[in-house]
Formats: sequence, C-alpha cells, structure tokens
Amino acid sequence: MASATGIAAARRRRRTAVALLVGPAVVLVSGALLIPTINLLVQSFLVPSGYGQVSYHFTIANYTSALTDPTYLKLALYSFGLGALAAIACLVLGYPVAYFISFRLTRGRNIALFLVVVSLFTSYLVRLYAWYTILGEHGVINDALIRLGVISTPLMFLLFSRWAVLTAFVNIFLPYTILMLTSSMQNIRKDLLENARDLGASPLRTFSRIVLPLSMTGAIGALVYTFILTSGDYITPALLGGTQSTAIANVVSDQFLALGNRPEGAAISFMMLAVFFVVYLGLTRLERFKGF
Amino acid sequence: MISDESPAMRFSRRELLKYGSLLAATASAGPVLAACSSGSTSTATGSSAGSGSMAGTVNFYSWQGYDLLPEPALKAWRKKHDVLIHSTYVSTHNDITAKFSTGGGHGIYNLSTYEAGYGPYYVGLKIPSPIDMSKVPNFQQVYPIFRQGAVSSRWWNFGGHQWALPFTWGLQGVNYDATKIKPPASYNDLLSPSLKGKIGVTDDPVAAIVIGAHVLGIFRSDSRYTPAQLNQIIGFWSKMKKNARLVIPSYGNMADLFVAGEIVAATPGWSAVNSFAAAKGDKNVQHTLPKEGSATFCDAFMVPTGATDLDTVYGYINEAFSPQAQAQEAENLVQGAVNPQAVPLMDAATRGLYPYNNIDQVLTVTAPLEEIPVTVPSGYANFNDWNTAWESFKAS
Repeated sequence: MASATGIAAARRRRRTAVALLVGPAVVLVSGALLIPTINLLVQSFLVPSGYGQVSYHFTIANYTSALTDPTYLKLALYSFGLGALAAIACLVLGYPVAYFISFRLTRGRNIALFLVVVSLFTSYLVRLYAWYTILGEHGVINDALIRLGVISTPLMFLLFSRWAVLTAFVNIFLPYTILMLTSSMQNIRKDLLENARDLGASPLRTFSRIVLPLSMTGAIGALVYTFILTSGDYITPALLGGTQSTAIANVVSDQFLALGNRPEGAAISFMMLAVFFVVYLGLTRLERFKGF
Repeated sequence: MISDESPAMRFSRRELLKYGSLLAATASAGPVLAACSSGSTSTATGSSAGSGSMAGTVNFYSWQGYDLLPEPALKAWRKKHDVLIHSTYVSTHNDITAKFSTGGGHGIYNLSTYEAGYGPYYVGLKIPSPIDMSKVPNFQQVYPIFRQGAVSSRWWNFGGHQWALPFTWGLQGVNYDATKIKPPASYNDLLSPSLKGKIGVTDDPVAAIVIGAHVLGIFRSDSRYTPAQLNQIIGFWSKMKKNARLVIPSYGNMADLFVAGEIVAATPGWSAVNSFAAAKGDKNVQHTLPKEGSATFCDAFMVPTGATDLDTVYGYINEAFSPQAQAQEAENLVQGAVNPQAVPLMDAATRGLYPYNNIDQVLTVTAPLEEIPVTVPSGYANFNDWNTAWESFKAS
C-alpha cells in the first residue's frame, strides 16, 4: 500500500516536472505561432475595407479570387516548383556527404560536422550577396572562364535568374539536409552494411536496401524543411531572381504591406500552408519504403 | 525500475527528427505568414560629453540616409546632447504605411517621414501626430512654399494641424554609370538593344507610374489616370523590363549593383544612390533627369502617434533644419534643401543641382508634387489599382 502511494507520488512529481519543463515552450509556441495563425485564419474569411481594415462579414471571396487569379497560380507553380527542386537537389547532394561522414569517417567526424555547420555562422543576407561576387558578370566564375579561354563574353544567366535562386537555396539549405541525414544515419548499425556486403550485395544495392530505408525519416524531414522554407522565401528571389524575382510569398508580402489587404494575404498564406501539409503527408508515406 | 511513460508519450529519435523538422519549418514560416516587413538597422550615438533635457533616443524608421547620421552638424549635436539614434531603414514607402497602420510601429518609433503625396492618406490612417511648432523654431527659416500657401496646406498643414515638416526634396530620373554610358537624354534610350541585360527597373511603383505617365505625355499631378492609361503605363514598363537585367528590390541594393558592375543604368532613380555607391568606393554613379520629366518627391519628418522622448525628437528635427545641417544633407543625399540659408554653404556642384532661385516654379509647374490616389472619382484607377498593376508587372 505504502509502495503504491509512493509510486503515485513519484508519478505526480514527474508530471509536475514535465509540465514545468514543457509549459514555457507550449506558452511560447501558442503565443507566438498558434494565436497569430488562428487570427490570420479568421481574417482570411473577412471582407477587406480599406488599408489594413476589415469588415466583420464572412466571405470565401478571398480564397476564390486567389485561386482564380492566373498571376497567383503562375507564381505558386514557380515557387513550389523551385522549392521542390531545391529540396531534391539538397537531398541528392547531401546523401553522399552524410554517408561519408557517418560510415567513412571516425576521428574526423566531428570536424566534418563542424565544417558543415560553420557555413551557417554567416548571415543569410551576406551569403546571398556573396553570390554577386561568384556568379556576377565580373564574378569569380566568369573571370576564370574568360581567362581560361572557355568563353569570350561573360555568362549573364549565372546571376539574376532562376538558376541563381536555386543555387543560393541549395547553398543555404544543404547544411541542414546533411545534418538531418547524418543524424538519421547514426541509427544504422555498421554491421548491417558489412553483412550485406558479405552476402554479395553491391554498394548500390546496399545503399538502396539498407541505408535509404533506414534514413528515410531524416530524408523526409530534410525534404519538408527545405521545401517549406524555400517555397515561402521572398528575399532570395528578390535579390537574385532578376526580372523573374517575384515568388508567391512576395504576393503575400505585397497584400499585407502594399495593398493593406490582410484578408487576401491571409487566404493565400493558408493555401500555401495547405500545400505544405499535403506535401508533408504525402512524403510521410515514403517511410514505408523498403528499397529498390 | 519504475516507469510511468506510456508508449504514446515516448518519442523515438526518428519521430523526434520528423516532427521536430516540421515544427521548425512551420515556425520559420511564421514570418512569411505574418508578412513582416524587413529592414536594415543602424545605430549611432554621441559620447557623454554633454547632457541636457534633450538627451534620449531617436528611434528612426525611414529611408537610409534620412537619419542624417554622417553629417557633421548632426553628429556634433548628438554628441553635445547625448542623443542615441537607432535607425531602421525601409525598402519601399509601403513599409512605412504598413508599420504604422497595423499598430506595430507606434510607441516603438518616434521619428519617421512621409513623402508629400502620402500626407492626407496618412492623416486618415492616424499615423502622424500634430507637430508642436514651438519646439522647431528653425523651421521658420525654410522657403515659404514649404510652410505656407497652397502646397503646404495640401500636404503638410491641413485640418488645423501641422502634420509633418518637409526637410528635403528632389527629382527622380535615371541613375547611370558615367564611365560606361552617356547620361540618357530620354527614358526610351534605356530601351536600346545595346543596353539589353545591363539596366535595372526599380521596384518603386509610385515613381515608376509617374515617370511612365511623363513618357506617355499623360502626366497629371492629381494622379487621375484611367485604367486604360494605367495599362499603357505598365505596358511601357513591361517593354523596359524586357530590356532589363533585373527588378531592383531597393535603392540600397541599386548602389550595390552599380558597385558590383552588374548594371550600367537604373530607373526610377534616386540621386542619393550616388552617395551610397560612393561610400562603397564607386564614385562614377550619377543621376540625370531625362527630357520627358521626372517623379518629384518632398519628404517630411513626422512624429508618429504614441511617440516617446519627444524633446529629443523635436530637438533633432529642429537641428536638421539648421543651415549647416541642411547644406550637409543636400550634399550627402544629393537632394534639395529647404532652408535658403543653406544654399551659400553648399559646394558649387550641390548648389547647381536644383534651381533654388526658382523653387516655387519647379514644385508647382515644372515638376509638381504628385498625389497618392487613395480616393478617386469613378472611372479612375486608385492606389490599390496602381499597386495591383505593379504587382502583375513584376510577376509577368
């Protein structure tokens, strides 16, 4: 009986401790994310009435007008397409690096991880501006190609193009992808790889049947993370996108800032959120992947 | 071994990774959902050499350069009165509208500016508070057109209050690299095939629409254009965009692009970009006014409602109207001064930029200040239509 009382008291203490530990985070997330999100959701169904003003009448017109506007649809396709490309490119480039760090390095693993992380120490904007000196008309690549006699005039498409935006996205999000993949690969026992090799599996088959399925959670996390943040980015397209510098997030920004049309800005935001959730749910099905 | 964790409460590393990444990404998307404005910031202070009732902080929210940070007269004043300035710079005028109309800026920023045409609009949005004129005696030194008469009562002094104090003005045409091209005599010069991929179009819808109207010969200072005329104007800019390398997100970025050698010309231009580029080592950027006409601006200090440290703010504004500060501001920003006593203090090049002996003619006839068409009669495009058209132009 005494023992049962002690167990109950221990449970209460543990629950209290958990509540105290989790409470601040719950309050922070609720206050900083959920409440504003609910506020935006409500506003997306209201009628705009002048700059920054709303009339409290229910409407779905904000959603229908956004869905039927060809400009918005074109920009959405561009933004989500670019986001998907960036996510896939990061994954394709990140897997070999993560594999190498996880299974080939022993002593140097921490140094390698530090080198991956160190690129994140520089500010986002500085890294974007750095591409001017690399991809620009007088940048490192054009200068080198001209000096080597490969080209006679600078390649102008390198900067201020969708290619430049994609390059910058990959540069920025590749470290996150590598970290997520490395983290998920740490769960894979090395003897599984050795057993596969002992049984005659080729390196490619070993990767597809063991490494890929067992690191799929990290891959999904990296894909979702990169896709959401790149699809919703409007700074990088504005600085590097050239004449095609507008993304769907710019429309959201313009709705709020330039037009003061919060309901329509909120409606577009929630449609973006819906796309993100659909993509996330679709990608989670890949967890069942058992290899080729 | 006692454990009260149910299986449902346990998170594997895989689940933590999966849900953690989703949460992190969702949290990071928050700023996009909220469409928060972005801006660069700068802070400057004086030492504690002197201190008086004006000591305090000016939290400034406006264009880069308008905080007058590098000017010796204001530097000395800040040092003397122990005043700190914390500046946040805007990319477009819409940033100011958004910051103060959504409640985010009031009580945080105590000094901002508005371009003349925004005056009635901003007062309608309750953004500025009435100016206490007894605290800005230097304003009495400015040219009469800025403090009395039709122009003043249209943009800054109406409804029985002085809402803002105009401190600088100028004309917007084309910025160009003087080592690479001759000054464009016409905006149409920028459509030349020889400049394809070498020019920039600035993301400044108001200046662009005014300039477009000048090019098409349909300019009106009351900004009343029909939707068809607005389409014509956007059509002109679409042609320009086809010849352009990029749409430039801000004037600060324009300076970087000139310095990097990525563009040889950009329009709408701003003479202050010359200084921004010079500060980064490129002294070849110039500003010119093509023959068709230009967008005119006159920016005024406003004190947003809910502002604190008012003595500091008024002291700062007052000092900004002193002849020395005005002359230095005109030189640094390559813009027009409003204090006639500043003109003899300018260097010859700065003094020659604007016809100070004929300022009324310039601002009322030659290049009148333009209205922001918030409310227009039926059949005309309003400000919302302007912004929507410009948004479509950028997306096209």
